[in-house]
Amino acid sequence: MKEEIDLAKIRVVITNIQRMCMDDGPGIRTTVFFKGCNLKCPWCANPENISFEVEYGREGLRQEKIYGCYYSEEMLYEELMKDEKFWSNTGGGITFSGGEPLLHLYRIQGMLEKLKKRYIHLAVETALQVPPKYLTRILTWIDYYIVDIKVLDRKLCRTVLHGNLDGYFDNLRILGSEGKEILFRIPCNMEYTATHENLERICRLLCEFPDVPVEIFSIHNMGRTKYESLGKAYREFERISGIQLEGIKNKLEQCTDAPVVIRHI
Amino acid sequence: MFKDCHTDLEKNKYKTTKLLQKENDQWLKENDFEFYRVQKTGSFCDIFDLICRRVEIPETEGRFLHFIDHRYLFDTTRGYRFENITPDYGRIIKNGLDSLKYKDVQITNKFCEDYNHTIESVVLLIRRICEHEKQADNRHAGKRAEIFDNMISRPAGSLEEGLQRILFFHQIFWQIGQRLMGLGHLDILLIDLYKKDLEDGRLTRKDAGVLIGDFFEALHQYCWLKSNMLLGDTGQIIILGSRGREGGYVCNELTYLFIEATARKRLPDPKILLRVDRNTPRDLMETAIRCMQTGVGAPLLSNDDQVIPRLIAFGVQEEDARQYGVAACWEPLIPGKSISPNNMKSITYPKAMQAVWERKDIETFDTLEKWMQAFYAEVQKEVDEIIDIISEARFQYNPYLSVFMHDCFGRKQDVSCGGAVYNSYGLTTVGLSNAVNSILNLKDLVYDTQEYSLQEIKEILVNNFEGYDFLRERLKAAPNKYGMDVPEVMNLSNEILTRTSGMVQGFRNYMGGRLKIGASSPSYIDAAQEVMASLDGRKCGEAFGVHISSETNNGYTEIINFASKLDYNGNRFNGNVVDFMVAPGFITNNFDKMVSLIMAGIKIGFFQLQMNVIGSETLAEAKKYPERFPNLVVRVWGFSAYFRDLPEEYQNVLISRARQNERRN
Repeated sequence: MKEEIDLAKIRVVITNIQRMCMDDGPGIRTTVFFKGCNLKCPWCANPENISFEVEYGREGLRQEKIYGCYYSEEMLYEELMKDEKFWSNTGGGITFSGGEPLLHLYRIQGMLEKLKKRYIHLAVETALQVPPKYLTRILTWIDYYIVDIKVLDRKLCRTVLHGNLDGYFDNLRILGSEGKEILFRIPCNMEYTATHENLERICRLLCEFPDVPVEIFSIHNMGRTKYESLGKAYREFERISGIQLEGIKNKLEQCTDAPVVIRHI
Repeated sequence: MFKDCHTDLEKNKYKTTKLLQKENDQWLKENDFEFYRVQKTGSFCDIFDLICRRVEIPETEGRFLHFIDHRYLFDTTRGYRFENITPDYGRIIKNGLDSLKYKDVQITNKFCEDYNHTIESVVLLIRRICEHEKQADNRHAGKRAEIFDNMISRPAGSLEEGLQRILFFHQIFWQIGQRLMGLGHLDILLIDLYKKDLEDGRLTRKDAGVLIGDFFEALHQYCWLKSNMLLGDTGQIIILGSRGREGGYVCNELTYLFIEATARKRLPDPKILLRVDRNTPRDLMETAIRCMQTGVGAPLLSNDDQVIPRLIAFGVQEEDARQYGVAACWEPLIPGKSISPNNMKSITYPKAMQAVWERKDIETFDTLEKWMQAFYAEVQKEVDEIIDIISEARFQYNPYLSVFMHDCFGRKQDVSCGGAVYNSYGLTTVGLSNAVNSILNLKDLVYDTQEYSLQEIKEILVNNFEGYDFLRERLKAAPNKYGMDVPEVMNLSNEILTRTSGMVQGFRNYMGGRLKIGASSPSYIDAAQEVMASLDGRKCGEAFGVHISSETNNGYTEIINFASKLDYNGNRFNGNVVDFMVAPGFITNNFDKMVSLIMAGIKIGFFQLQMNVIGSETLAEAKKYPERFPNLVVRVWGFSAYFRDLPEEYQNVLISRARQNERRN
């Protein structure tokens, strides 16, 4: 007997619900990867989460791989709650990632409210480059914001990432004024994010948020097989060495009071 | 000269008991015919006495004396031998040997006589050792003579004395052919001696660590002789941590010292089991996980909150249940009170599935229920066969073991005649994961989607997936699997376990003991060798799933949830261990969270847990170049062993599990 799915209740498309994540916020967490993003970062490690539609790829020679699964709020809630006891015992919770989670979360506010009633710690991992209305609608529910810092030059951001920095800065100000807990995360590559000019801009941003801790890491090539599976063109980036990361860390530390941590992936 | 020599071991791997026995017989015939004759015709006491007179006492430079003279091993073909048990060494820590004897007026039966006679023989051996040490020329000899002399009429007076006593009385068990002998709650047992040493200024904490390290090295000697199925499978298990009378968690400085020594020495032997519960202090968990991080596969964790209530419900007195330990692997027992051979046989579920496929009437199983009925009927047949065999087992008369087992002394009854308090037997089960996954696939392919008929499936399995690799891949990638916390999987796993436990419920052995089962077994490779392909995608002869594990599911939280929902009630508590493969970097990068995970898991309710912390690349390298990794230790089942000593199949299972685990991350 297959479970009957009520199509009218479908709210979101999700590619993966990763239990026992250690890196996406405090404690042991379950991370939800929404399918669909407004950015087109050339170094994206999750290319399956760019399109909003369910996609079909290949796995090995003969197998088909489906990227994306439809979820109603009830289905998602039930799946997530399996690890509730681990969260309560480790100070963990749920992290919504993607894709751009802010483009999806407003559709499942009922579930967010339900989770909040159970005092579950909620986090998002976001590029924050969306119109502020997407943020304000979910602000009450989300406790912790992992915010990417990418390319901070308006023109470059638009042409390379298809992003919008106006929304980004507005949203950051909203988070600041609401006193939300933030963590900055910088995916470093020599081509775009860790250039001399961009680091200068990042430093200026950090000066405005001196209490926000920062995590930096080298972008990696682990998304390669997914590009291949989806038949998308893959662009290889050079990894940044540990010494280079140390250099970036030292530079950033000069403009913030909060810790700058290197994450090894 | 007999010695624990690696060269011996390199040449022969290890000698099976039979081979050793044969060699010994030959040697004895030529060199000591009297012993040979007594061995064949004499009583237990005759042989035991002669062993104590004959064994050669070696020269030892080390601190501790621990020796086994393999030429004078007890003939083990005289009946079912006791193994997989833990004697109460507290008896000889707290007393001198003399005071354990019956007084003349108390002797009312043959057993009392034999019991005293056995103790006298041991005293004789002790006196021989004292004489030997007095004449020996090494720095420890004088002190050792004194320590041995004390054993006869005084309680142990120091930690060193306590450890030496355990080593000595333990070695006699191996000398008389017993196997898989546990050591018991050494932290609780020795803590008073340790404290006294500290108070009297005889010892510092650091000295005690060194002492325990030396004790470990002594125990690790004769690994080749002590090993059972595989080199390293010795069952020399030390239990740490306990539950107090008030229900609180009990540990002490020695608990930490024993774990630290394990991490420092990185020897496969002895094995460490740490009892834990929801009140276990975090710093002790950190010490334990730091030890696991070294890769030694120890300590194994056993969750008191799960184990103790099951023991009590099974009829164990509450006070005894609080003192539980485990057999050589993980099967709970009461040290010094259970003779429980907890691993007598293994129920192999995939064998029952094979029997179903071999039936002529499979076409009549037009519903899954009918197929399941046939499956249970085949499991029942397997169980019946096992029960037929173990019903015949009669244990060897063993007054020496009776010295250390309650309440042989009080009952004046040998341990082989029901003198011990608890006399139940245990079985393990293997291939539950293969059975569950196969049945889920069968339901999908045959009964839900009707893509294949039963006859077609049968042919595919008989032909070992020949030409059906695509189906095999699909079966392996099935969405619902053993180890996942989804109701369908949980219910099926529990149904199979409870049905099996019902099948053994009526059993009583000749001492009145009952039967228990557990969901983790050592035989995941051996039992799989002859079994045909199964519908989980396993090919003929491939290993079964290892204990409660899954390398394909969604992280460790899921398998812990799954294990916590398995139903261990009734007689189903005979060892249920979750087995993790963990990449070393994973713990290093997330140490605090890993500790929190395990502590959360204890509250959520896994039964037992162990982990291998090692990368697949290291294992693959070590397989290729064993000489570069002489000291690489891994967890196999309830024991750790040197990787280089393992047969290839075992190495391969570990490598493949490590690879799958890394892919998951």
